[in-house]
Amino acid sequence: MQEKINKFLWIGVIFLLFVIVFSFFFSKKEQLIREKRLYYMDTYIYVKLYGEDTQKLDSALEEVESIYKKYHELTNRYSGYPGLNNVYYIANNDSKEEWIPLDERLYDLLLVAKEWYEKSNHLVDVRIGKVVDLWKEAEEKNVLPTQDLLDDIQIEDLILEDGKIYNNHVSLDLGALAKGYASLKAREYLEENYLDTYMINAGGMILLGEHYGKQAYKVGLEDPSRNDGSVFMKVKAKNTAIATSGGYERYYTIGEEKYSHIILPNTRWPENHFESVIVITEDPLKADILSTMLYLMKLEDALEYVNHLNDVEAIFYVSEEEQILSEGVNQYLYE
Amino acid sequence: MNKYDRIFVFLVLLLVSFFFIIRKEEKGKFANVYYASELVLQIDLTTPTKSYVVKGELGDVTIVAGNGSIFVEKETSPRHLCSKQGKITSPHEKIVCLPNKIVIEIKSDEEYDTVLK
Repeated sequence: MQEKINKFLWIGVIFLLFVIVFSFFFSKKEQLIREKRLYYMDTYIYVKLYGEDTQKLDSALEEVESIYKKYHELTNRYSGYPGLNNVYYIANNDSKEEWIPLDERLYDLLLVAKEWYEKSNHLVDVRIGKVVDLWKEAEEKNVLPTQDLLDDIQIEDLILEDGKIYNNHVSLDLGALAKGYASLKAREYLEENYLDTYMINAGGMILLGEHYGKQAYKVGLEDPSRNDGSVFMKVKAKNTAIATSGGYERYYTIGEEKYSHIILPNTRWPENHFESVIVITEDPLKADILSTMLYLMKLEDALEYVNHLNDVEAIFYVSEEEQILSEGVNQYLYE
Repeated sequence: MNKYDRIFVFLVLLLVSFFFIIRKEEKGKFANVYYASELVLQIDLTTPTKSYVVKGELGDVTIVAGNGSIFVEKETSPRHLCSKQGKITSPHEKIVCLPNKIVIEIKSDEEYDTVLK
């Protein structure tokens, strides 16, 4: 009898041991993780996918990369690619043609840019490439540009028709929406392929699907007034996009002064109402564009604008002492 | 329970606690160095300061790491933004050398899933 009890005890202990060891090895491993680090649009892009099928995940990673790569090439201001009529080509071509045919993807992106030019009350203007260049040059020379020099810049119209752009060598800077647009396309691809558990961190843009284990992602918001990677706030979110303008970007340093990289098209001067503006909304394109647009508005106007939208929330980082939240941000905060 | 049973149970407990210790140690502070998307170097930051050389897109990148921090000492690049960035010490801080396709990340107990810059 005594021996039988001992036997049960032994079996029990061995069983327990197995359970413990297995739980160590297999907890959190029901889902496979695949990740990739990309370098496009002057940004380090981290892509993480979860799923059950390695092959499917790997081919999805490839496809996500090719989407960012394509939009990187199409929107590149600084170099052309053979056979591709991209932003560089539009500004610098020596073609005699009056109209230049565009890749459908770039054409659609430019239509969206035009649409938001109106919607944003002319705050988001992609035609200011030459103004941006002048500010870059000013930083290199470490001398502020004169108002005359800024005013003298001729800004061409963006004229689109039937898949073509009018060849007036308009100098485009699609920085306000390129990343958001590519992220939107990446999400469309993932969801069409039934991959709903993903996370993409593209610098000032985070795209979230479902979390692999938890209810939501815990996202730290980096403190723009400090340079040590510390976080000033944390939010919980999923199936949404979070974009920032200001914070992560470098500044133009001219003399002792710092100038933001975001230029008010109207005055052609950098705007400094905020250190950064963070926008949370489901659509990454909208998040990206709105973060630029709100950054260029006065706090009261920006807050009123956001509070009138049901599906958009924003965090305005005015200074280290003052951060203003839109009315619905609470739903993203930890208790 | 006879003597051997007790020894056995004791051994099992020892093994289990061993597992816990191993898992705890994994969570120390370390830095990952990536070239393109490949992990090329992992440095335990609790060790004394030492320098490491990795190959970047434009040439060698010299990294100095240890005693809780890591920085790029020398790099071949147009603007030397990486070496200008200086030391990083806390998790989620990154050094990104775009021209060299080198990324250095500090890892430790993951407090956040991701951080918006």
